[in-house]
Amino acid sequence: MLALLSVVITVNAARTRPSYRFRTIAAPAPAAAVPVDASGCPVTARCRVQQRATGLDTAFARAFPAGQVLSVQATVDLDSNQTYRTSLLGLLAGNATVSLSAQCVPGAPRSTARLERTSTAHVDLAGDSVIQSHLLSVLVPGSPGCGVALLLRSPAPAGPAQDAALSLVHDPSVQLPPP
Amino acid sequence: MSPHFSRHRPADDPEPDWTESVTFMSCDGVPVEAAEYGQRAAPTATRAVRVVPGWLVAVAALLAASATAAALLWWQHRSRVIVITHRVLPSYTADAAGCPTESRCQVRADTGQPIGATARRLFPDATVISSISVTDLGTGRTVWTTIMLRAPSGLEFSATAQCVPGGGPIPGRAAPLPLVGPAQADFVVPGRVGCSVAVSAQIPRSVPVPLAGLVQLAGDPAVQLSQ
Repeated sequence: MLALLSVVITVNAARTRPSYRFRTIAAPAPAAAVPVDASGCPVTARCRVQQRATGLDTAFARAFPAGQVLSVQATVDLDSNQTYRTSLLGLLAGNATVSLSAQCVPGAPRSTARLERTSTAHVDLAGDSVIQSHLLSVLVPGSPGCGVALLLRSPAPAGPAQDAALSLVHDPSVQLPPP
Repeated sequence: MSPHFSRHRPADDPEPDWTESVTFMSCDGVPVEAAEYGQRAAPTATRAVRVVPGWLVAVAALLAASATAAALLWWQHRSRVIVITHRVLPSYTADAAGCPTESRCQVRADTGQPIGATARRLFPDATVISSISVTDLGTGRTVWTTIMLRAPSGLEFSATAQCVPGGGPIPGRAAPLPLVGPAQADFVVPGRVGCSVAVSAQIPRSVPVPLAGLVQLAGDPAVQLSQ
């Protein structure tokens, strides 16, 4: 009886097609970020760089009432009107400049906050080191894939300008909405 | 008269397992196949009964059980669960400062990049109003650099070179331009995989579009960064 059973099972097993049972495993893997070109446009999108304000100028004017906007730029999706990157260059008193950029890359991970204070210097003919400019570089992450970067360049240590620059880069209104 | 049977063993049977032979007889003494049928059978209907030893039964059962187990295993093998997983490789990109993800970078105000030198060579009357470069501290390579210039004619343009290690291929982009402003120029020229140069310009009204200079700036291989 057992032998007969085994023969029946073997024959059926040989004749039956394998039944594939698929199991979906959700692993916390990082999402694939869409590569972006040098203008900040994702390769999957059709973009155009336009010289237009996208809210950065308003935030800049709030932080630096006496400042002057030299240039604004935005990388905009032609189909969805989504802004992927926007930047502003501002001139402050004392010949200091502020460069502010906000960016959102679809699928990119959350950026890491960064704050650096550096200075550039050169050596004069007398052999003395002369500080040329002071730099404040800040990166404030927003939503995953989004962030705002600021570079303040000032000839002299600019305490109030630094405070205003820090308040500007932390202003939630300068963050781009995630795509 | 009830049916009866007689028993006899062949004396010359060499096999020890022969124990007996049974012949069914009808009431009138005629051998039959089966008494319940009530029919007469041929006289040669003699049945031999063999007694199988216990060890043989055990071996057969063991073999049968083994075959059954093998068959079940084969069945299970044929209908096994196949788990297919896809590992999604992240494509590296850059943050808002131009620093590639998972890199440590330093941002500098720097005019010594090739893109700056080329821009000043092509537009000698323009003034640099901003220049920034980002260096990957792990490799020491410049991964992002931008320069912004303004010409006396009011022309304002910027050129940005980027290289993201591990990034994907970048498509090119070029917008048609009129001969005279107002116009907005927008070029992207791909370099190696993950690298590209973007040039954009704001040309004021009545100012001739410096198409040749802009195209040369964007397409100059020297301004492309290397990984």
